[in-house]
Amino acid sequence: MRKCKRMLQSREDAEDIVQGLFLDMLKKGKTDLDLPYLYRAVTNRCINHLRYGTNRMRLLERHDVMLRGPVRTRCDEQVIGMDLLVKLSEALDRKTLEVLVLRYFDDMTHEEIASLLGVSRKTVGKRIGKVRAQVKKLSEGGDR
Amino acid sequence: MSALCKGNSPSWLTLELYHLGELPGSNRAEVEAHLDDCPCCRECLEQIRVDENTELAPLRPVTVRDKHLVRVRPSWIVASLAAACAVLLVVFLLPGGPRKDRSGLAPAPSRIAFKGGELTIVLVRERDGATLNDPETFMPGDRFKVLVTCPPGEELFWDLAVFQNGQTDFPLDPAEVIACGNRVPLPGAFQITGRAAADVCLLTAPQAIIRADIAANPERLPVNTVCLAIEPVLAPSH
Repeated sequence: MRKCKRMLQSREDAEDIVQGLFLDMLKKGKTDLDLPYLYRAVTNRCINHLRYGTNRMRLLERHDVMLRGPVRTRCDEQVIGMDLLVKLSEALDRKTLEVLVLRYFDDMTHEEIASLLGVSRKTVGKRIGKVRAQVKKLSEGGDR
Repeated sequence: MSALCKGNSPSWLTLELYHLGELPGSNRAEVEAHLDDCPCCRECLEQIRVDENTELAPLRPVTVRDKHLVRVRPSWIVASLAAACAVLLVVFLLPGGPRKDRSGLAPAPSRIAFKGGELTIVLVRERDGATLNDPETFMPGDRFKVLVTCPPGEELFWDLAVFQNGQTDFPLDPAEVIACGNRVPLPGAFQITGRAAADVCLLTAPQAIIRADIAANPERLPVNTVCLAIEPVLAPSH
């Protein structure tokens, strides 16, 4: 719930996503889940949520920056706020977005991300590289 | 907003695990050492602690009065009626056929043709940790969510009405339009109380739906309305 709020900066959207996740988990009989698993599941739900045009517009209009909490990790000195996240969610693929969220919203190291996702650190580094390139492109006005 | 952390700050996941006491000893000591020097991370941990007892928002119950109680009938009568109802349901639920709403309100089908596709809803019930799609019954404590299927690309104004015992309730907050798709969950969940059968209806329209109009004229629902009927589990004895 905290993680979802931090990413979407909306208590209502976060509650709905977490309730939906728990309902689905119960339906599948999955009740003994560890926190890292839930983190990943919530990340993916939030990304799905963000990729819906209507949700994006609503979050842009109504997000509460206070729910973001302290920003501890920046992307080349840029804070990834809601506006930038929405633009990135349009431009990047799902796997890259997942790494983006784990790095810049959950403040995980490359090693932690690699371990959580079951990929190599090199892969994580490549995806972070894609994020940085896209952030640079957007900040230079490359988003038209 | 707080200053950036210096050094290797623990991730939120690590802080959560630390808070839960699930970090192994060496990692725990490392986190504690960092927290001593880092006000920013202490603030993060404090946020976790403050949030500790925050629960998900309670589900809003549907409040209706129990005016007409369902009678308990001998089992053979119930069996005969069930068979008769099954036949009627087969007849009336065929595409295009009317469905008799048991609360005496306007008939509404459970699925309709809609803008080159169809509009339909599925109820999902959660009871004692178990979930069920398309439930036929409810009892106190059950929680329901509604999944909507409508042609992708469409956006609908909507509201969810529960009709029971001549009463109408609107348990969800239709603040936003639905972005159509396959089994799109409506925001929020709800409970149904009372001991009479209920009709759960999704009302959709090209513009915002006025609840007062629906409550005042429940027999005049919007054209694009789909309903599902649900029965109470326990019939009261007399």
